[in-house]
Amino acid sequence: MRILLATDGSDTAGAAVQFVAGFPFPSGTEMKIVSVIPRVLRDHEIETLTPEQRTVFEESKSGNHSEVEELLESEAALLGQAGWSVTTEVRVGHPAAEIVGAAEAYDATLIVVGSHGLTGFKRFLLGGVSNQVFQSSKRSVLIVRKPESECEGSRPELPARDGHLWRILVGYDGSGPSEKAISFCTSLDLDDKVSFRVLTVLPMVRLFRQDIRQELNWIWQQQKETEKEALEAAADRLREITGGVTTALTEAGDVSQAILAAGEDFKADLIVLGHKGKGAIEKFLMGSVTPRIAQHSCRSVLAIR
Amino acid sequence: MDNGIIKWIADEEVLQDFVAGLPVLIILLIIVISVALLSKGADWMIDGVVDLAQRTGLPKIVIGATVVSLGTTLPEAFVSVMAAFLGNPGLALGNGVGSIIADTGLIFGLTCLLVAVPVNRFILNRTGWVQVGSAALLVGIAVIALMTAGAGEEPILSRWVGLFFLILLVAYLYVTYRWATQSGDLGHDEELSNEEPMNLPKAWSMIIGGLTLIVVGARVLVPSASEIAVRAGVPEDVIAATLVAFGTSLPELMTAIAAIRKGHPEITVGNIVGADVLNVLFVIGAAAVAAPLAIPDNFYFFHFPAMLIILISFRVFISRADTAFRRWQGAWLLAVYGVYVTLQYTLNVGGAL
Repeated sequence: MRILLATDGSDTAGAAVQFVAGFPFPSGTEMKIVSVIPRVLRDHEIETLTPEQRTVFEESKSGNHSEVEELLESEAALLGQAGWSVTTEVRVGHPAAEIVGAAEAYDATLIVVGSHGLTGFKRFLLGGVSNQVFQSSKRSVLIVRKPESECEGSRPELPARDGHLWRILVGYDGSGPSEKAISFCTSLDLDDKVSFRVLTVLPMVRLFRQDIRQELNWIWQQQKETEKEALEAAADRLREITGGVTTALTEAGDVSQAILAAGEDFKADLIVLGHKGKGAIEKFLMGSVTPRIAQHSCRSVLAIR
Repeated sequence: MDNGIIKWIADEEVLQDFVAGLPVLIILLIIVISVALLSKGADWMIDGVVDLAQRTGLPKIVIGATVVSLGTTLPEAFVSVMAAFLGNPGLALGNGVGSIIADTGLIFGLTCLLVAVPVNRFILNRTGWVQVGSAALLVGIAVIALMTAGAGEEPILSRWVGLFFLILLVAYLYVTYRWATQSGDLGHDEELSNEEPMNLPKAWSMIIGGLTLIVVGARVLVPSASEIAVRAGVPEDVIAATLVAFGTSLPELMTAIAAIRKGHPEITVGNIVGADVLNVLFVIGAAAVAAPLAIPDNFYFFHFPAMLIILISFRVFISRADTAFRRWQGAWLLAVYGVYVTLQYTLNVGGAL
């Protein structure tokens, strides 16, 4: 497995490093830490600078560069101490685009980014690099959350590096991407330090209380039985390699909310979901559960593509 | 009750005069808002009534066959009853018949075109016949009314016919309940339902608030639709069978979209078949009880045949379908609906003579 970890020296990026250091990735996993220096001036703008301005600009650029290199060294050392093989890279440009580009060049299995658990208006105002990376990359993305005060009350503690029992909630709906999510989990270095809950949420049409008719429809009842069996089969794949696996099947009008609530209930360190990019019409028709959870969760989220 | 309120509800002229002074765009906006009120009102009312019904310990199967089944047809019923009450029988009947055509042609047609809709043969072989049967009964009674009407008199669906339909409605609800008990495994796990009952005042607020929205929506929609018909130079029946019917079928459309989004289009089939039956027995029945409904000539040569073509096509599709409806069947229903609407606006076929 090849992991690309993006850092900018912030608290959230630090949390991502700490998370990755202790996470039970398979042995032999390689990591690259990348940091992006935002481009302040474009080439044609630099040409318009006076010689004095250019000297100040170059000095500041080189200062930035060495600061970032120092940061990368210290974070690489931290990961190295945890036993991972690490390389580093500094890039200049638009952060999200460079992170996605670096992941392509590195052929990363997974991109890891840190993010504040911003909610509501703050997220609308600030957006975020993690969200841009999630939206624009075709690779799996792990968003490590260091929640803001909005998530207070359900704020998860970041896992300690040693001896932590990882609690992982896996959303499963029988689709190809969710099968991949199960496969990802089975590829982890599992022993008794991980506890899984595999969750299937059956979507109900709550509008005009059609859920009541839905429950009485034998086609739906048959589908429910099939989903139950598929859920147990997925859980059995995990049980073959670790003991701590439970399952849950629930019905909800809003699948995303149900998964978020299950994450809180399970006190999950990580929510793992399959994610298939969809076109605009498909998004309108079928909705997009994973991006909503990635945006709204106060807990870390891994979207497997 | 305050006289002002009675006047507001009963006196057609109060709102009609008000609407007549407004620009077209504002009237269209009022129509959109009243349709939204009808839809939201139905949603709230169903939520509240279902909660109360669950408190009494009624099994879900009974609630599903009665409250929920009637719920999405509430907007049609209120609009038609209001229209009949206010002396617009064309609008009352046009809305009922137009809703059947919109539900089956537009909503089911579109669903079928977009996704594979599985066939629930047990239910469809039963309610599917009631669907065609109730529409045929309506047409049959209308033809008898035509034949028995005196020279120069308009055929009428009398209050007795309305009452007869309402009695059939009760029988239909009972029979659907019986079928539902036979069709499914009712021992399914209620323990997985994590539904919390709302508090009693909230349930009542939702019922009263929902009912208020429906009454206000229907009351404002009827004169606005009549006014739009006058402004557009098309008969009231055309607006009733197209614009109003589409608006009052919004709950069915929203349910169909939600069902596709959640991957359970089978709900739409049951919903549409049930809505078609209720549009005859509940909507037209209640409207005829409110006031006898005169049947304009054009219903005999345009609206009724269009309704029967769509329903018979649907019936044939049910008998030919193996596990799921085909896309071309959806395209056919949608095309018939398209022709039905287009003919009314281009050739004025659907308008009263």
